[in-house]
Amino acid sequence: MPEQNPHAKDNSDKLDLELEQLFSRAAPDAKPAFSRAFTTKVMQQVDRSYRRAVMWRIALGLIALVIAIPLQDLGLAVTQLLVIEVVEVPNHLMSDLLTPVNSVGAVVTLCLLGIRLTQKRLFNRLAAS
Amino acid sequence: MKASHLNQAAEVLVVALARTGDREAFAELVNRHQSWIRGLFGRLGAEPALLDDLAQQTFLQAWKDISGLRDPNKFSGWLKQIAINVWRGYWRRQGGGNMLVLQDEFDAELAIETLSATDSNLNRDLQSALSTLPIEVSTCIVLAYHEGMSQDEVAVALDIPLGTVKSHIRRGSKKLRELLQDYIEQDKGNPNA
Repeated sequence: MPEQNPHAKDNSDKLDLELEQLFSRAAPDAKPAFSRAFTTKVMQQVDRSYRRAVMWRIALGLIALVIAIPLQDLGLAVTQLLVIEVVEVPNHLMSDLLTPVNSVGAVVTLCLLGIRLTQKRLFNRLAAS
Repeated sequence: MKASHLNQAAEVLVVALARTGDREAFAELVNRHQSWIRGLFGRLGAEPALLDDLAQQTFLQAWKDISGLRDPNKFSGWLKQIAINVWRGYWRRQGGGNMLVLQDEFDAELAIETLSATDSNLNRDLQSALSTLPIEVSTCIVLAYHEGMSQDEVAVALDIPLGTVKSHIRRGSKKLRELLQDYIEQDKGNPNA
């Protein structure tokens, strides 16, 4: 028979059966009686929390609205700027078709891509050295 | 759905309704589970006033999070986990530290007198015996013995290592046996008790 190590950790997952019986005997007395007042209190808190959430949403909506009004003009100006042709095309249809590449927006996009590529190359070189 | 219909409806249906934000359905869930949750906090050692406060916090949290409950069949387990988190949060705020800390000195602090057995006092004496244990030990004991959770489940619920849970339960059980010896002897004498 293998010798038992007195310092070994007990890995059994079993509970003390007699204590289990004591707990189950005491369980009915541990359960508080049903209380309607408790439910009412919980629901009052739920309502309060709901009202608070609604107030927050309204407040956030108002803030967004206040910020959006001055930003709307700026947004409009930027949109109009981005579609300005870089090279003037006399044909109206051709002008519309070429807008994605022949516009301030396209130039800005190209510039940003160029900056990003240069940045990447610079960092790669620095990392290599 | 009317409240009178709700109290006869299957739990899964009531939970599904509450998930959609139905206030009446949630009130029905509070009605159904309040005794259990309040009893759990009582067994964990909360005083009556605190017990109701913690139970209210649990249900309020449940209301806030219920839309995220994926499986309505798992409502009870999910609610119990919220209650356990509320209990842990309460103890953390009280400066009780985390459940991982083993208090080696707790044996010395215990009242060693054995509680005398009369069946009408069992609940009270069991509670007194639990109150002599450090909070992390009594929490593990209550979840395992009162709630019938496995030691793995207790470890997951309390977010502590399984070995710590086993150690807490072993030490706590030993101490409870000492304190409730009379009741255990009584049980042995009367197996039908």
